[in-house]
Parts: sequence; C-alpha cells; structure tokens
Amino acid sequence: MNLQPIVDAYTAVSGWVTGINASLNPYTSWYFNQLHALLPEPFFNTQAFLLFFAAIFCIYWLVPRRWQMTRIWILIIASFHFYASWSKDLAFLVTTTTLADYIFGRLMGATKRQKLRFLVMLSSITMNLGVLCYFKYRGFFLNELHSSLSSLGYNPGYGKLDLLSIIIPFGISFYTFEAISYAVDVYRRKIVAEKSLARFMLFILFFPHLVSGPIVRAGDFLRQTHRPKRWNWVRVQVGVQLFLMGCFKKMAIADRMAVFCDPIFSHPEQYSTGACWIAVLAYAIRIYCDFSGYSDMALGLAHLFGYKLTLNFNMPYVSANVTEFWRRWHISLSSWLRDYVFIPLGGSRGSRWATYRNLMITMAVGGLWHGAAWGYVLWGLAHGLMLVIHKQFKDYCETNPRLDGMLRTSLGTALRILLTFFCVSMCWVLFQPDFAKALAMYKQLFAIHVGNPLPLSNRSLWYTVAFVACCHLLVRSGAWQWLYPRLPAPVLGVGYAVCLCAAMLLAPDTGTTFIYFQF
Amino acid sequence: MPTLRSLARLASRLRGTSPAVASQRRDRRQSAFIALSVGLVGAILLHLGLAAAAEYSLTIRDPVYSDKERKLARIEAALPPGSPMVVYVGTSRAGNGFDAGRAQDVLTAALGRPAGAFNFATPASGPVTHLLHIRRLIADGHRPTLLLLEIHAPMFAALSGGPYEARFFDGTVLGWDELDLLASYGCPTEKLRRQREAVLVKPWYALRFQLVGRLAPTSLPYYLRHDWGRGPDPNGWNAMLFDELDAGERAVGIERAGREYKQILRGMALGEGATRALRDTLALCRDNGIPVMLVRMPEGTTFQRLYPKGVEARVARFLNELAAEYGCPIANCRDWMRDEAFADGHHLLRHAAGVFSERFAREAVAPALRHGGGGAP
Repeated sequence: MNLQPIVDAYTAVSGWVTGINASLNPYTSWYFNQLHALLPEPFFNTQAFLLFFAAIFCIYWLVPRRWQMTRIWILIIASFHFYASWSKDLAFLVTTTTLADYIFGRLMGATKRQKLRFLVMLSSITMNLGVLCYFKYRGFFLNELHSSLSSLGYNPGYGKLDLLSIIIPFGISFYTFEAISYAVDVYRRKIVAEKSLARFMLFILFFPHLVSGPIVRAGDFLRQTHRPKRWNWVRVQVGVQLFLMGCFKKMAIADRMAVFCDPIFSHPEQYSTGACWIAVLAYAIRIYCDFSGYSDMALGLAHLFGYKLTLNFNMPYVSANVTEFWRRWHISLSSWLRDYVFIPLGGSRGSRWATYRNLMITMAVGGLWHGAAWGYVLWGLAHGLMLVIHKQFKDYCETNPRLDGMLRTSLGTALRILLTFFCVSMCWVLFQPDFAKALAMYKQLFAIHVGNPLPLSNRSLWYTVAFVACCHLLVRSGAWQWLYPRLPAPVLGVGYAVCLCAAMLLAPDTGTTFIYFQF
Repeated sequence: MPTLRSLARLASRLRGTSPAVASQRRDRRQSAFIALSVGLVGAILLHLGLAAAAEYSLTIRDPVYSDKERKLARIEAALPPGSPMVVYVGTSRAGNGFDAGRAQDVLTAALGRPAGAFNFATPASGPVTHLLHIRRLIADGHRPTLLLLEIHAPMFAALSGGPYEARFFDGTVLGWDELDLLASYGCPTEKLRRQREAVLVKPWYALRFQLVGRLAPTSLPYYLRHDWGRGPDPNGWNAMLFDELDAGERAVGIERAGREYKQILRGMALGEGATRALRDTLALCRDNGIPVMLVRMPEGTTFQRLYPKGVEARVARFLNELAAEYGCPIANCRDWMRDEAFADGHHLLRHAAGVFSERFAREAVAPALRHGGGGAP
C-alpha cells in the first residue's frame, strides 16, 4: 500500500497551518497576552474573574430569549477566552479535540452498522485517552520505564524527563471523561448524537465546569441547552447562594487550613507527632472545603446562566462507611467510574472475588485519574481495599443481627462515622505526588517524634473544626432542611452579605490554588 | 411511550396552572428578589461602612500606630503638667532595646521630678516611616520635651528600589497624602496605591489582618497581626521573650542578620531620599520646638563587622553635619553592650535592654533634659 500521497498531504497541510500560524502569531500573541493580563488566574474567587463573569453575565442576559443560539455562542466564546487566558495553545487543543468528538458523535449517529459505530467510539476514546496520556501520564510512564530498564542493566536510550517542566492542560482529566462518556452513551444509544456543534461545544467547554468538574453527562447537559433560558429570581438566588458558600469554604476554611497542613505535608520530618496528626485533620478539612467549595462555585455560576450541573458533594464526612463515603464524595467521578469502568468490568454480578477485583481495578483507575504518581494509585487501591473490607463486614453483619443492631444505634452510628473519617483521613496522606513524603508522614504519625510544633496557634484550627462539624451535624440531623425554608427573606439576604464579608475577612495571607486544578 | 408523569404534566398544562400554585411561585420569586436585594444592599453598606471608618480612623487602618499613640497619651495624661516627656522613635532595635518604663524611673530619680518616657519604635521602619509617625504625632497634639531618633545606618542606603524600608511598607495603613509623601522620598508607590485603593473597593479583604489581628490574633502568624503596639508594657516597650540565648540560637540569629544586611552595607552610599527624610524630620521638629537627639543603638561586634571600612566613617560624617546644622546631639551607644546581650548581633535581649535603658537614661537622656532637651550628652 502506497502511503506517500497521505504523507505528502499531511506535510502540505501542516506546512500551510504552520505558515498561517506564523503570520498570525504577532497579532494573536498580543491579543492573548492582553487577555492574560486581564484574567491572570482561572480562579473563580478572584476580582479579575468576577469582572470577567459580570461582563459575560450582562451580555448573556441582555440577548433576547428567542436568540438561544446566540446565547450559547456567547458562552462558548467566553469559555474559550477563559481557558485561553491561561494558555492559548491548550485552548486550541481542547477546542480541536471537542470538534473531533463532535464529528465522531455525528458519524456514530449517521450509521446503523454496529461494527462501524464501535470503531468510531473506539477512535474517540483512543483520541481522548491519547491526549490525556500524552500530557498527563507520558512523563510518569517514561520515567518508570527508564527506572525499570536501568535497574535491569539496560540502557533506556533517553534521559529521565523533568515532570515539573511538562505543562498539563488544566482540567484535562475532567473534559476527557466527559467526552468519553458522550462517545460511549451515543454508542450504547442511551443518547442521540448531538446535531448542533454549538450545543456540543458548550457541553465540553462550558467554563464553570471546564477546569475542575463536576464531570457532567451529555444526557443531563445537552437537554438543558435545548431549553430557552428565562430570567428567574429563584434560580439567581440559588446561584448566588451556592457561589457565596463556595467562596466561604475556599477562602475562609480551605486556605486557612492550608496554613496548618501545607508546611507539615511538605516537610513532615521536621515536625512533632502531635503536629503531624493535627495536620492530617487539617488536610482532611482542607481538601473537602477546597474541592466542594470549587464545585459549589461552579454550580452557582452555572445556575446564574440557567444551567444545572451535577451535585458533586453531599456531606461526605458524615458517612457511616466507605461505600457511603463514595456515594457522597466527588459524586460525578464516582458515578462515572461506576458506569464506565466498574459495570463494564462485570460490576458485582460475578463471584465475590470477581467483584472485589473489579472494585480494586476501578479504584486504582480512580487513583490514577487524579495524578500520574504512585501515591495516587496507592490511594485508590487503599480505598478499594476499604470498600472490599466493608463489603465483607456488611455480609458478616447480615448473618449477625445483634451486631448489626448495635451498629445502627446512635452511638454505633457515631462510632462508624468517626472510624470512616479516620480511615479516609489516613488515606489522604497518600494523596500526593511524592510517595516518599507520604511514607515520612506515616513514620512521624506512628512513631513518637519530637520536632517543631504547628506553624500557628491551633486555637483557630479547633474553631474551624468545630464550625465544620456543626454544619455537618445541622444537615445530618435535618435541622437545616427544616430551618432553611422558614428563614425570612431579609434574614437570608443579611446572611449573604455577612457570608461575603466573612469570606474576605478570614482569607489568609496568600490564597492557595485549588487542589483539583492539577488533575 | 408516555409515562404517567409526562401525562400528568400534559394534563396540568392543558388545565392551566392553578391559582394556588401560581401564587406560591410568585411568593418564591418575590422572596428570592427580596433576599438578593437585601444581600446586595447589605454587602454594599458593610463595605461602605468599613471603608468610611477606615478612611477616618487610624485605629482600624493602622492599629500599630494608634495603639502606641493611645498609650503615649495615657502616659502624658498621668504626668503633672510641665513634666518632661521623652519619646523614642526608632526601628525594632529600639523597640526591643529601650525599656521606657525603666528609663522613666531613672529620669524621675535623676531629675528629681516626675518625667515620662515612651518607646514609639516600630519594626521595619526607617527615616521615612519615622517622619510619617512624627507628623502624625504632631498632628495628634503630642509635643515631647525630647525626641530620641534612632539612626540605623542600613536604612539610609542608596538602593535601586528606594529606601530599604520601602520594601516593608503596607499601603493599607497609609493616608492618601502620606502616599504622596512617600513618593517624594523615592519610595515606589504604585503597589501601595493599589493596596490603598483596595481599602476603598474591598475593605473587608484589604483590612483583614488589621481586623482579625484585633479580634483573633492567634489565628494569624505574628508578622501579620498588626499588634506590635498592643503589648502589655504601658510605656511601649516590646521586650524580647528571652533574657538569654544559647550559642546555637544566637548563631542562627547572627547568620540571619548577616544575610539581611551584608549586601546592603557592602559599599553603601547614602541614599538621597532617606537622608532628605531625616533632614525634613529634623526641620519639622525644629519648627515645632521639639529638641531631637540622634541615637545609635548598641551593636555587637558581629554586626559591626558587617560595615565595610569607610561606610561607618561616611555615616558618622553625615550625622555630624546634621548635628551641627540642626543643633541636635548624637548619642553613639554602638559599643555599650557585649555580644551576649544580643539575640542576633543588634537586637537586645530582655535583661540587656533593661541594663542599656538605665545607662542610656542616666548618661544620655537625663543630661540632655537638664539642658532643656539639647546639648551634648
């Protein structure tokens, strides 16, 4: 087979693209540099973003309702600029893969031949996973291969890559999973391939969920793009409320907890055992408030444009067991893993051992999804192991009603919640790229060690812990659900104003980036 | 196949929305509108309120200054009218090293009548900050009998980014006119102006350290608390926590001080902005009838060794010229204390500060007060 014409065509097209790129570069560079100056960080809780958002919000709602497609294009352009302000090249990459996914979807929709549909789906998955692996896992796998070959005495023929020098497009894991779920759902005929390019682009590129989720499903989102959005004060209230709550969680709690835990997680060997235990507690609160705060803000922003995203967190630290924890923590990812990894692997339909194997594989994939490092994989495996143990214990309890009854009392439930929280917090130690640091942390935790105390007086930490615990109890007991609808509107309004000021007031010296941005 | 729910929805649509449901929806919309409006108005009012309060109150904007100023006013009020009052304006070295309470006792005994002494030193300050504080003190009605002004040589270095102290300025504590003043002495004020504007636009964020430092200081690192002026000492002394340090701890301190000052002192030339700020301070004091004494705080041999040859002579020549021009005496106490007295070669430990303050009050301040504030000690 003569491939020369294809190679020639490829060379001609790439030369053409490079030429256009080179001639446009001075203008585009200036434009995107200006954009970066206006929006230097893609964080929702910054002044620059709020100004950007306010502009888009006004333009969006000023467009008449019947011009729904115009509104959609406004959101697409805004989303592209939101991403391009950080990196124009990667913004073009995301847009290109989105276009390719759209074409794959249309191809699947256009044919009834199952084999062809399967091939197209496979192509879509391969392309998305290829991009993900190239940017996110290339360094990790090549370095691991290098180490393995070197230890066996072979010359790998290449040097180790500097992982820090590889730029990972932020949010790549999130939109890749969204695109994969779309391809699979179209293939399974759960949804019809979207005909409108604009609607499909908005599904992937919609800036509130673009960089850190929630991982939205095409079935949920695309349906909403077909409904004309009308201004609704109730919806605006929900959006503002969620956004403020997210801001408070991020600025007043997560960033404050980072002051306690970040220095200790960076250099655990320098700190005392007591300080390390407190750092683990602080990290558990930090990661929850950081990620759920971001998700709340994303949900709030989407509501302000009339879109509803998937709920991502539901008070995970009041879970009485690990299985429940995964129903409440990062719900969009856990349900994605369930639907697209666990169930296709056989789920819990096979033997007990097959179920356990499927659980471990699913959780390992979940761990690897977070980051290209052994720490994340082990974190996933540790959770898989806990899920297996819980499944075993649940089966045992079913044969032992007395024990089951004891565990279901208030005291038993409280103990189960505490135990689950302890186990989950212990696993968070693994949740970092540097596995050696995780080991050092465990060493400090379980061998009495004298060292530096906490970097700051722990009084504010205990107040924060008490505040978070009270909020959880209020919701768990149902008191909040009872109280909220009965609160007079002016009281709620004052609450919003106070929440905004409190978030600003309690923000520490330097805000930290969102933990999940790196994934 | 239509589901039951979709059929029910269709039926309800055909029937039209019932008045009860419509009214319920209207109520929800109305209450959402009220909540959002109250929230918006509340947030604007809270921001405007704090911004206005900060504009007119140094207690909110600059608690370090206002705490000290209040303490000074208390000391002055406790003295019989006409009693001599000594105020020491300086850097953290003076803040740690001058036990004004003990100096007050020594002065009272030496002069045979009640006398007051107050330590108005602030950390990371230099001639520009000192001028700013003295301007504020004069505006607040304070007229000390003798003003002690610390001369910390590195603060006079000619550096590319303006005086050394400019690196530590915080725009949120400054007044608008003070920003112009700082700019006139070569301090870069672009960032400071942005910080100051933030006090107007988002005061709850810009002033958070001042406010949290007052309400819950332990939740902030010590350097963000704005509580230097709030220590328990009524005479403004910010004593070191320790009386003594072991050799290892001292070595760490000396190394840190060396890291901070060695580069600045190497081939140091006197900066135009900083020296002009000092001249303007002396002129301001002269115009307001406040005698000034220039003070060089004790320095250990390790710190003195950081001065290259020629630099010390240059500084001494400059001070002598000023002393001659403005008629202010110089108290050179650089060699008064042994190396063990310091935490890092130039900040005095608690006990040593007491020893120094007694001697300083007896040998330098009391004679100056006997001469009506001026005259060589």
